[in-house]
Amino acid sequence: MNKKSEKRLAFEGEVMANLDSMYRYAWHLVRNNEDAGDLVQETCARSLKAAEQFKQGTNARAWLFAIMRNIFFNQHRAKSRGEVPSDWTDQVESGDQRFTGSVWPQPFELFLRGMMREDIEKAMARLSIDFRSVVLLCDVEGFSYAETAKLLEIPVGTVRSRLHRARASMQSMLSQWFNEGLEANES
Amino acid sequence: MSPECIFVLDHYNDYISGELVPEKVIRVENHLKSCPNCERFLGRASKLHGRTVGLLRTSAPQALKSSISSLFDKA
Repeated sequence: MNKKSEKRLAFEGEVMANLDSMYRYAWHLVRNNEDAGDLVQETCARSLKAAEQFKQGTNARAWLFAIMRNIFFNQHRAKSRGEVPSDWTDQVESGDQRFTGSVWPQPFELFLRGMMREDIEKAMARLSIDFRSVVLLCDVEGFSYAETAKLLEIPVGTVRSRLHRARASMQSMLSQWFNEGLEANES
Repeated sequence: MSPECIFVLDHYNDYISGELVPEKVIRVENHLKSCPNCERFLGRASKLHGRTVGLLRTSAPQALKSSISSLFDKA
């Protein structure tokens, strides 16, 4: 068995340490477990081929995400072409986003406690891939606006506006579903 | 609604993201001390953000982790 170089071991360590993040990003791109697993595998295989270019101390996660994004767009662009910003997104874009977030469902604590992962996933699924990506990268993975902009090849201002609108869209959806649930229980 | 309330509404998303410049963070936080409505609003927005992020933080399946380990071992 060949002994792995230090550089190779460092590379593998970075990939394994970022596997959860890569899987989350993959899942939100393709929206199912099997394709997400395939996308992560393909990303790892491609990154392995480029492992010699990997420089220790650089932002490995951003590098891996960029590889994944390129694979996704090459393989799945045709499938996602029909996906357009949802009515929810359009609705928020057309209004003044400052005020869409100012109405909270009541009772708020019950709304928050009752929120399930399925609700969040459902709300995310209603967002366009552009909006979903910024939520994932900024909110879940903690990339800065500037890092996200570089990764997605869009201006920082676009990251900011997409993120704000995506959050407002999700809040609107979650609030509506909560209120509908309350009404259903009362009737 | 005062101009400072509007300032908070304009900037609360960047505040939650940690992307607001320090001078604006101070301005937001100074206003929150004297405005219960904005304090409640920002508190709720932060809680919703935290809950959402927490629910989205899933892990990769163990089978996938094993398969990637095998890929590296074979290469």
